[in-house]
This record gives sequence, C-alpha cells and structure tokens, in this order.
Amino acid sequence: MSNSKPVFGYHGLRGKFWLENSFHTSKIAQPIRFQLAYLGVDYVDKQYPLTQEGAEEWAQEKEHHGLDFPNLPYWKDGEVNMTESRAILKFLARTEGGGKLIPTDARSLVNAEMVEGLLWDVWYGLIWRCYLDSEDMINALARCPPKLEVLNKFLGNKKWVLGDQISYVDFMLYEILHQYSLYDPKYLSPCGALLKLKANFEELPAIKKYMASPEYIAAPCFHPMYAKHKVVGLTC
Amino acid sequence: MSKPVFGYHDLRGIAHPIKFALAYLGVDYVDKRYPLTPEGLTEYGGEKGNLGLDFPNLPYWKDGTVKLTESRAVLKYIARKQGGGALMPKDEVTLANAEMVEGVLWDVWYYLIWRCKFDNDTFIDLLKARAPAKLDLVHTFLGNKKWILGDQISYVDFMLYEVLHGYSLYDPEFLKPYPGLLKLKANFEEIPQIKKFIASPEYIKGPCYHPTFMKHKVPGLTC
Repeated sequence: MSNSKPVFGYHGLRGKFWLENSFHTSKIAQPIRFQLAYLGVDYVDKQYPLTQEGAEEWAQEKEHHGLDFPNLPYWKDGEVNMTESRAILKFLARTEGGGKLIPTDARSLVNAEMVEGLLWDVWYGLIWRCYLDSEDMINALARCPPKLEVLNKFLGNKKWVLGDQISYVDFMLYEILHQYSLYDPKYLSPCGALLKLKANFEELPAIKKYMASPEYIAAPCFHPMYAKHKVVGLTC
Repeated sequence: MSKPVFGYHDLRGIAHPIKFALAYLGVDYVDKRYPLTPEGLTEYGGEKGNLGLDFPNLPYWKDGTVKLTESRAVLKYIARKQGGGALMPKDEVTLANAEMVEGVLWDVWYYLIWRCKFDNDTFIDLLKARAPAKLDLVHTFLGNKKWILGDQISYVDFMLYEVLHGYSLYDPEFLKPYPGLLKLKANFEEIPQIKKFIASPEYIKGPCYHPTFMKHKVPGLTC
C-alpha cells in the first residue's frame, strides 16, 4: 500500500469533455470531487488546464499512469489505478467512509442503479446538445425533461433519491440538476422535489465548505473551446 | 407464484445480455416481446403507464420483488440475485474492474448504435476514431484470460459478447485485429446453456437495433 496520497486526475472542468472526431474524450468528474469532499478524503486534485499545454500534458502522461483504459478522470490510490467515472464513483462509495454512500440492501442498490441509468441518459441529452449544437441533438434533448419529471415523482417526499440516507446517486443527480439549471431554469421549475434536493445538497456542511474553497471549480462544466452552444457557467 | 416477466422489443438490442444471462442461469420467465411494427409500438405505448414501473421504459423486469427498468441495472440485479450471484464479482478490486470495463463497453456499443441511428458524419467519424482503439484496449486487458475478469465468467462477458456480435455484423473485418476477443466470442457460443439457447425457437437472431429508428441499414444488425 502506497503512503502517498491518492490522485484524482481530470481537466480543470466539472465535466464532460468531448472533442469531435477524436479519440480524446473524457467522462464526468464533479460528482466524484463532491463525493471525496463529503467523505473527507485527502487526495491530490490533479487538474489539467483547459489550454493547449494542458492537453499536451495529459497526452504525454496518458500512457504512463498504469491505466488499463487511459482516460480522464482517473483515480489512483495504491490499490487501484482506474478510469470510468461511474466505476470510480461507486468504488469510492464502497471503499471510503465505511461504504456509507453505497446502498447495501438489494432493493435500494437496484433502485440506485436504475436511477443511475436514467440520469446518464438525461445528462447525455444535455452534453450532446451543447457540444454538437445540431438539430438532431436539440430534438433529442426534448426527451429529457419528461424523464426529470418522472424522477421528481420518484423522489417525492424523500430527502434523498433512495430515502433518508444520501448515496452516490445523489452526487450524480446534483451535478445534473446544476447543469440543467444553468442551461435553462425552466427545465427544473416543474420539479419542486428535485430543486429542494439540490438546495439541501448545497447545505451539507462538507459540501458548503468545499464550495467555498479555492479547489472548487464553479465553472465551466463543458470545455469552452469545443462546446458549440454557449451557456454561461455551463460551456463558458 | 407467477413467473417473472421480461419485456422488450422483439429484437436483441441492449437487452440481449440479459436474455443470455437468464438462459445461462436457467431462469424460467415470460419473454414478453413487443413487435417491431407500429402496432407493437402502440401496444407498448398503451401499456407503459400501467406496468407499475417507476421509470417506464424497455426493457423491464418484473419478478414479484422488483419492477425494474434500465438494462444495466436489470443485468446486474439478475447477476447478483440469481445463480448464487455467480455472475457478479465479489471482491472490491474485481468489481471496480468490472464496472470500469462495463463503462468502456457501453461507449463502444453506443458508437455503433449512434452510427446506425444517425448515419451522419459526426457519428461515422466518432466510431472510426474511437471504436478500434477502445476495442484494442479491451483486447489487451483480456490478454490470456478466459473471460474478461479471469477464469470466472461475469455479467461483463455477457455485455462484451453482444458488443462483439454487433460489430461483427456491422463489418466482418472489424474484429480481425483482436483474436483474443474473437476467441472469447467463440467460447461464449460454446457454453452449453448458451449453445442450447441459440438453437432454441426463443432465440432472436436479429435484428439487433430497431429498424424503424436506424437510418443505416445492415442485414442482421438494423434490418
């Protein structure tokens, strides 16, 4: 076991980064950073700048991190060298903080994974619309708000998605709500329960402290150079 | 107690790993298929709100304990619950690897699905730019192992098989650079329960993706 701190590597963004017609792509990071802050994990937050130099730095390092599937984000902690943001989020949920962010009963775990799948679709609707800015993608985004409304109903009166106990899925959900509210607040205005969850998340002491810290990336979410549709805070 | 029900379009789609897993595990269930016709879509549209699903969608799985959607969630639930959880890794590092490969495979799969669905330069180029390199990494990761995680088959192999099946229909040359993956594909087809399922009348040879929504036509894959 290494004595050095674990390292989380990603662009200086919340996520996602996407570059058309290129092998280079990367997944989503901010839920992982929030989770690490919530769990009080001491780690190196390696942020690759959004400049040509930052891209070159990553390109040069990429093959030398011992990653089976080199990509951003990566997580290296002496036990694993891994990529894939959902896999990292869930690994940390299971192995840090006594596993409190992963549901342990079968029913809650399957609900978590079901919501996770839905959230991924809803997220990608926004990602594609902003990066590609094409008619197809604008039309595809139109399918997302009804899914948010179904999720709002599923949340109902519960404090967090699965109930009283916060889980890794709430960290994904928060980031999606954050990004949709930047894109256009009207998407969330019918979703009172989701808006309440969003506000409650921001009031968690560990999260509030992190958001006030210099490490916190308020913006952007997507890469300003490559996201064709410009939205303040989201893509620029 | 009534049999569980698996509902999906009458095609392989993203649900087929689940069907293979159910065959492998010897689960008896009702295979509810919605025809690939406008009537089939209408049938599902009519039922959708009455199935007791929190997030109505296809595929769905209803077994008296849960009513689920989201294909990866269904696959993993079945992997944990059935057959003593034989298809779900138990230790943390192997499970982390499983979910990592799952993420990579999902991308590789969707490069193909999007390419067929949108049939435009963006997605044609996306597939060309990314699929071969990621399959190469999967191939390297597999190495000499029998299955993607080692000696024990897992739910990830069921996803991997279906991805390889799709790409080999898309272009028979596509997988030639990856003999290890082709070997895994062949080994999968030789598993007795899988072989029996493939020979059975319940088995859906094709299409993989819904012809109504796929602009790029490839026999067996999208038509």
